[in-house]
Amino acid sequence: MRTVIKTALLILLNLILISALTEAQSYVDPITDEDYKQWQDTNEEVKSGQPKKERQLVYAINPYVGMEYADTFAPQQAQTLYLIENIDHVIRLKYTDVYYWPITGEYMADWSSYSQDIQGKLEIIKDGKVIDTLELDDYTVFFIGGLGGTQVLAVGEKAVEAYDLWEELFTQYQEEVVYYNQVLLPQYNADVNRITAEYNKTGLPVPEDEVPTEPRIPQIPDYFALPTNKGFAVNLPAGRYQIRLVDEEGQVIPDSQKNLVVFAQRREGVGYLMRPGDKWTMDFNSTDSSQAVYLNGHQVFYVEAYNAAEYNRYYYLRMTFPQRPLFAQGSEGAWFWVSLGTYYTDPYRLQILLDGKVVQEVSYKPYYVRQTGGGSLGYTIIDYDPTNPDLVYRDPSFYGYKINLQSDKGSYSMRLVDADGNVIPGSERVIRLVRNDRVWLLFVIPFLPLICGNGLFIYRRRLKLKAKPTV
Amino acid sequence: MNWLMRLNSIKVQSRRDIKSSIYSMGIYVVLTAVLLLTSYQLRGNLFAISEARVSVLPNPMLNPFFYTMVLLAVYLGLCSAMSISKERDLGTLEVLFYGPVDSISYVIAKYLQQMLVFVIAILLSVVNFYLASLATNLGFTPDIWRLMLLAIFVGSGMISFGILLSSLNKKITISVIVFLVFALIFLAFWFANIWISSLTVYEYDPQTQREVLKEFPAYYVYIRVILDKLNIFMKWISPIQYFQRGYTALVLKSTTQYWLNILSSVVYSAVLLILSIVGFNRKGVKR
Repeated sequence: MRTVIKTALLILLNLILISALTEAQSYVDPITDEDYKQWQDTNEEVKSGQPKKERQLVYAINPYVGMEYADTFAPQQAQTLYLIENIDHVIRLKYTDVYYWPITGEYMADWSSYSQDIQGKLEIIKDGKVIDTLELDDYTVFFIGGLGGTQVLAVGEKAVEAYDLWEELFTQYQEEVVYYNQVLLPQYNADVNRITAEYNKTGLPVPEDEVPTEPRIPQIPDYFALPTNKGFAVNLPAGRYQIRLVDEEGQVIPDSQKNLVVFAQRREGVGYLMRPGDKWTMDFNSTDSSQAVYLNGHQVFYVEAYNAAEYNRYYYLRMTFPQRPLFAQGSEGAWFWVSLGTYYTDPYRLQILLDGKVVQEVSYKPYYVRQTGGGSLGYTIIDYDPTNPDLVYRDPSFYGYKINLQSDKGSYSMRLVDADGNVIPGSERVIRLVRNDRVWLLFVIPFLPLICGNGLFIYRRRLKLKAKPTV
Repeated sequence: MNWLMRLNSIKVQSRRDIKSSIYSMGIYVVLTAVLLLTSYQLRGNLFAISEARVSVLPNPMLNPFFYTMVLLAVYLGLCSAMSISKERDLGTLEVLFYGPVDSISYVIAKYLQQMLVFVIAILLSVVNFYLASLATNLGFTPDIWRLMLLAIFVGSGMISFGILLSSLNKKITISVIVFLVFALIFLAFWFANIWISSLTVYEYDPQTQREVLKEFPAYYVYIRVILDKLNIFMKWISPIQYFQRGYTALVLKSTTQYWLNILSSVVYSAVLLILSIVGFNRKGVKR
């Protein structure tokens, strides 16, 4: 028997060992003399701070990562690319100098020393068949709401139009600035000087309607577009593909073939940025509707809502950082939430429910944090009102939905609704006001099974005693 | 032996064993100890909420309940691992088999006995968590009921695993050691997997006031890769992994995955019980 057990344990340990070694082997290829020389060279280069560069065909990628277009590249060493399904991503193929930077553990491209675009057509292959051939096209990313605003990719003629619009708006803005500096501002200054001189001369106050109005500084356009460029706009359903570049004769460009994994989100929902009233700078996120909001007694808090999606951590991070060979390795089984960047503002409303009935409906509003006077720390959060004389020339500190529960009893929840009152899926959260005054009960209740057991034990003893024949 | 006789035999044997289990103090002491242990976790959650004033958590009752179920399943698996080899070791098995008992009825009776004890322990745990939720208002959600149902099937897997080991061993000490080794491997793998996958990828950098990517040392990456690959193998042999998958399905509100997981637990238990019967027949009833 012992032999059997020993054998079983040995088999189990061997399986673990084989699995580990197989995995390790995929990272550690047999070392050749050439490898050793290269390692010695690299070591020397690292010591000298000058890594050796290698001219490579690389994929310059602008993947859409949820709320923006990232800018990354895949060197030859990254054999598989990852992209989110059903949205445009941009791929360009280039020759450039690549080197490994051990300090950050990643491959770097030296675009400034050499960068050459490669012309051709991008073939997309699935199950051994070419399913699509993409041509190089103009593209640009434009920003609605300024540089930090929503990013949109435009391809083809739309890209040219998008960039032309930016140029037109910017030219107009420059003209307005010139006009402001050369005409409006000098005129205003002259009027002010004239009135001041009159007042100094006569000592009489100037009638209010004669006081000049300060000209408005031209506003920079809340629209921006990057210069157009040439690239392949890739938009595919989830699946595994191969991609490669072919020239005009249909010949595959060497080193251009790569695997492509297009992946889908697992879930989509509403994320909340929670801001406790008494710690307004210490915000945190709730992305999963299985999470509940727990309050220690009566608390005021503010929330901002945004749409979020849950992705496989490995796929997502390999998409964002293909140039980092070790990054996200081993996290194939993990998932995480990513903000998609769209905030639910007006006309969305946040409903508070008590025992299933709507008791409050809160609008999205700006708030201002007013510091208390004196040397001590402290603040109050007030509704931001631009007509309030104290808040002139001040911006709101933050925006959000204010939640102030009226009662400590009952079961609360919150959810987001649109202008027509439709509930946004994944926006529901349970709100619980926990009790801390009866924690001691947590260490009393577990004795219940022991009491039951004792009861049964005593009952059994009594039965036995009863069953004994009386003398 | 026909099935009518077998059923009667199962009934008589399991009734005898259940009585002996519920009238002894073992399960109650263990259950109390486990529940006290999880009470510390509940208190920790409450403390964290009171410190933060406002916090966002998955149901704080779910994790302690999950751990309670895992520990109870391991305990009953251990009891199962001892059950057959103990009777064989003492020589009572041989005597028993002179009566209307065969390997099928014996193994099934052992399984039913442990399962009923497990169900009783689960019900007592549910009462405990319900009272705890009333005391703290942490919330007793329908998810706990679903987790309870899942636990029954996963406990079944652990008990079947214990019975398989017990049927293959003649000595009680060997059964216990082998079971504990496997249980420790399962638990260690489960904890390591949870720990490594919960490491945050992003962290807040107060200097730049932005979320920045956190770099892990290379050995973390290798551990993660090895665990991930081992998981391909472990997810089919460890009952805890079945439970973990069901729990994930519950959190994701994936009804199909939840029921598929229950089904796979049933298949897992059935296969182990069949193997137990085969193993039992091979080992025989003699010391």
